[in-house]
Amino acid sequence: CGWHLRGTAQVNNISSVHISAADRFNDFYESLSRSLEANDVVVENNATKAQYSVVILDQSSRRRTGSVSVSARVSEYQLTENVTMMILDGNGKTLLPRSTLTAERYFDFDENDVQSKEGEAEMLKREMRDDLVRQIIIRLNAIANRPAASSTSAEQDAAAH
Amino acid sequence: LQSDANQPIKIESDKAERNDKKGTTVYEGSVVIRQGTIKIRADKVIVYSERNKVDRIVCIGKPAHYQQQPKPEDGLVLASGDTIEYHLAADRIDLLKNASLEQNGTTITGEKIHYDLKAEVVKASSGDNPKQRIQMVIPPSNQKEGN
Amino acid sequence: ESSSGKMQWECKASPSGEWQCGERSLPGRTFSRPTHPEPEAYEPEPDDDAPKVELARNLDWVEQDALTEEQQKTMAPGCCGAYVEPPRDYPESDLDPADAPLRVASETTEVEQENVAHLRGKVQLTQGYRQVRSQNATVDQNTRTVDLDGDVQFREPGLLLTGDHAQINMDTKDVTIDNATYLLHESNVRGTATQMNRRDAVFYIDNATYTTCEPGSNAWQLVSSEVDINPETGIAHAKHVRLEVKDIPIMYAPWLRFPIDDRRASGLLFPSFQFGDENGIDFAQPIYLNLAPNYDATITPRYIQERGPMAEVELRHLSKLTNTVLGGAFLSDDDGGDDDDEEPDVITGDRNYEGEDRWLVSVDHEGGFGKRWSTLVDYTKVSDSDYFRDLDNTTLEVNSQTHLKQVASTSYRLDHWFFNIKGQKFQTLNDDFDRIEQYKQLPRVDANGDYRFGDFVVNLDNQYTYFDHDDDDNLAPTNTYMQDDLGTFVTGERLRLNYSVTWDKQWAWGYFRPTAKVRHLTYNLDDPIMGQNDDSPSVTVPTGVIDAGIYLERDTTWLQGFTQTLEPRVYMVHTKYEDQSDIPDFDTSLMTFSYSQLFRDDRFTGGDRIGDTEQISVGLTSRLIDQNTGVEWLRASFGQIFYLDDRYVTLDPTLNKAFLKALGDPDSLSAAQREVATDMLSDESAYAAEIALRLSENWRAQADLLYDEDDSQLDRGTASLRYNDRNNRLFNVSYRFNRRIPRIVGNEIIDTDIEQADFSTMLPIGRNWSLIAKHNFDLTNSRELETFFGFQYDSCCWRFSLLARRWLDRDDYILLPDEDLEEDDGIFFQIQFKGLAGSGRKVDALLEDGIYGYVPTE
Repeated sequence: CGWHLRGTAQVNNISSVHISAADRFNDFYESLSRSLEANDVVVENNATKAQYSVVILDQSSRRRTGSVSVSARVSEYQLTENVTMMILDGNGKTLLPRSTLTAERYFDFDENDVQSKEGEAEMLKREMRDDLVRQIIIRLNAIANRPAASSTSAEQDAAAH
Repeated sequence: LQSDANQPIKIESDKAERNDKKGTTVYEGSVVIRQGTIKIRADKVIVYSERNKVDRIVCIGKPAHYQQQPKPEDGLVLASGDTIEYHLAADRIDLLKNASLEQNGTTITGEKIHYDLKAEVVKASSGDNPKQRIQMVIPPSNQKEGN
Repeated sequence: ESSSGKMQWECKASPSGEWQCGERSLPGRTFSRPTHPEPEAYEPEPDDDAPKVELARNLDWVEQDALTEEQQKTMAPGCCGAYVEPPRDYPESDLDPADAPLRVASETTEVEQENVAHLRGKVQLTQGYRQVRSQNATVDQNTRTVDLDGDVQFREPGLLLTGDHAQINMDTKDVTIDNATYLLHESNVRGTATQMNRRDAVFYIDNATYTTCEPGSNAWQLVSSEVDINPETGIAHAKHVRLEVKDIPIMYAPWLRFPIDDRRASGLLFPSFQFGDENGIDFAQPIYLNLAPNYDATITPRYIQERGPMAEVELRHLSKLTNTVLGGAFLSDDDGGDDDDEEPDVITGDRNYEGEDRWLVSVDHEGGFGKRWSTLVDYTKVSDSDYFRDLDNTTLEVNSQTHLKQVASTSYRLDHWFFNIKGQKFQTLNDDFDRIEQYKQLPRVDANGDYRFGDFVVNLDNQYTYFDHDDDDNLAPTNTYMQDDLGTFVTGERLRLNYSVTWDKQWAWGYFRPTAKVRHLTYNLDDPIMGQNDDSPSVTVPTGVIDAGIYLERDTTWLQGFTQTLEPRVYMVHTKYEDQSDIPDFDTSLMTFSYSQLFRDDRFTGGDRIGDTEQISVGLTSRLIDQNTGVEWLRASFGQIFYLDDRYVTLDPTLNKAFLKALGDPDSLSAAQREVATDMLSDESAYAAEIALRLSENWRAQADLLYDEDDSQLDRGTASLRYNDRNNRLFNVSYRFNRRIPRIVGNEIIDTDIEQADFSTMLPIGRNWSLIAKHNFDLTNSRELETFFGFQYDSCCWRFSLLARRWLDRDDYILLPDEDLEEDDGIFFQIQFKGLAGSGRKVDALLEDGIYGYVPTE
């Protein structure tokens, strides 16, 4: 029913990407550049030399009480990670306007083992970061595969999203 | 200069015509009037005189030009207007229609400009046509020292 | 960052090769000094472009319907119009006055010898971007000043002044104007003054009024003998200040300092007022001291009727690299509160904490932005475990916390290595004796290496931790694996090494990632754990993992421009069983089972156990991706783990391999132990399913499900529907079900499943009103957890919020749900004058905790 393996054309026509972020040494920058390298994409330091630029405008993470126990104490925590970004081409034209990506996870809290639950929270944060990175790469692929002619109309269309 | 008023008036032109009855002399064709540092250029000049003493000179041009060095240290005064009337007794110049006067870089334009040579006071008014208001342009200070 | 509507993002390449992205409000900001153009020779201008300066109508305020689409975006929230500067389209309109000729038109002009010109009748003057009009004017070229009188109007970019007499300096920016009305477009600030003058770009205003309300509204204004406003720093000072609301003076301050833009709230923060049954009236008056551009202090005297006076302090220091906040609060000699559900102490007759001092200390620090090193401190300590419940803004969020994190860490990142040193401990907030103190990690050192050679990825993670425990309280650890042979908490050092090599092979159509990993654990315990004699146990376990998957795609027929993917994935783990019964449990527990657990190589989180695992996980994910933008409109996943062998490594050593093998009668174990035992011996995990749906630009739906086929029941089921248009128009509905082992108290079996539903919304009604509602309900014990209802009125220059709340007050001693927890309720009120003072944090904090996605606006 029409299923076919994803063609090689769709993936490797991204040659180089520049990541523009205020803090180049935080975890999110690290995992985005690592997975770009894993996809044979050169992470370029100079914005104007790169084929695309992923501009990280804002990042935030939040922990909230997900549910409470009989005595109204925390029994589940909810973690959310947000990243606001936009994608530009080599000379600064917006290809994907500013948008915010979100990831959300829950985990059971155990009052008697707080240290281990902090460890689980750290691991879930890593998994959420990888999820956000994967979404950014899917968007980069979509932009790279846009037929050149319709890129301007695509931009309006993207802006509508 | 202050002494301009009592300097002799020399007038050159292509053509001149004297009309003793009216006491006027009409000069036409690139007329140039000089009196001391005053110099007027116009297409047509009518000189009114009584008992052979010049009372009023009316210069008409598109526009007529007037130039004078009021004081040695000041810059030239340049004026123009479709009609320039030089009243010698009152020592006053009237510039009528498309009048413009420039001194020390400051330019005034408008409908009517009166320039009192002795008191060195310029009066300008828009006359009856409100749209034609008086304009004045004063250069910025740094630019003024420049020229 | 919720102002996406009115700002436009623009990026320019900076010399360093970085993108400089900034928000630019439309229309453009104030004019920067233009470069010095060469003034062209000027001959007398023909009359038609004589300077024309329109008369400002209604102080440049334009009603909403007269605004263009672009201008409507610049409207501040709650306002029904905006200040619009008329365009400057005359020649030299972008020049700085000092570099531009002064052009003036009038009905009559009279120039005297000393270059003094008297102009009469409809005088209109322009000098670069400065535009002035008045009835008469005198231009003195010697002193380079212009004196104007009669309906004077003075305009510069972002500034409009009117008055009856003014004097302007032609070469500088100094201006003096009498009986003035002024307007700063950028910050919506307007007002009147007997005299106003500007020297070196700072405004000095005598007998001034100051407000940010639109013309015609006297909602509030400041009346002051003297105000000076500095647009560069954005700070204004006022002396002898009277605040009038609807012309009624309500407050006086000898001296006041406040922001004219939102760079930083300062000056008088507005009081917050609360009334609750336990504390009575609770009135706090924060005072903000803007000590220096990079540090400030907020001191808050607070009066609590039933407890006495209290002081709170917050010191904030900002620098390019660091951001530090020190917080403190002190209530001396607590009067005990008036909680009628609480019986006083039977002997002394005192109420809880009566006569005691209550205090809080907190340090919040982050450092090293953009640098390889980074530092972090997150430390909070309180005098007693009921501090938050009695004194803080008691949302369910704050109230339900059980531990306060006290951590300090510093890290350094190289290209391939990451080093971190951390000290972490917790203050336990509990009165109930069965809650034990937590271990302290003093210190914990991590050194993680990460190399990539072609397709090979090598990870070298090393971790050393010293676990300490001040078991001064007489609480013996309940489980043996945490007791040493003296019966106190076991303490000691742990070294954990985790080396792995992964062949990370990726093609467009799929991936194949085999991993070989070795984990080594070794301890140096102060005393061996109870029943064991080895004080330095250690274990080394190899692990093999294979992670493979393919990507199948097709263009959707029923939906234009979308790609549907089908991504099957197989994840195999092989880890041998090694006996770990002589190893303590410092920081290890079972991870919460979820779909992601299918693709993790261990069931434990923390460092004290290496789980024996012989399993294959199979998962299938399908996505619906917009071909144009790559946005994921649907992601659905489904999968299960097949255990090829029973698992024997547990947290509780009594459940060791031999015991489980001889698992004869099930009731020899406690309910919790039986749950763990049956889980370890089962052949497959529960089915795990997840779905995430993007219904539109602002609507999101999410659900996940864990269904256990063996005992054919739902382990976990959650669903949520959310709306957020990033302009505080919010709607959330969510449901959570989480099966838990029932608890036996006396002879009663108590259902401890978690089944809770939450509804919260912030619905703007009309232009200024917003309805706020939240309802968090506990279905298992059919009781209300937290409910609040209220509204917010947001007008152009002030905002008012009123909230009535009821929330479940925590009680650590309660075991039986039908012993109803006490319901506390309170009314919260907050008023805020926009542009004058920051908002009292009370209601905003409640909304931020209560409503998912709420972001407090200025």
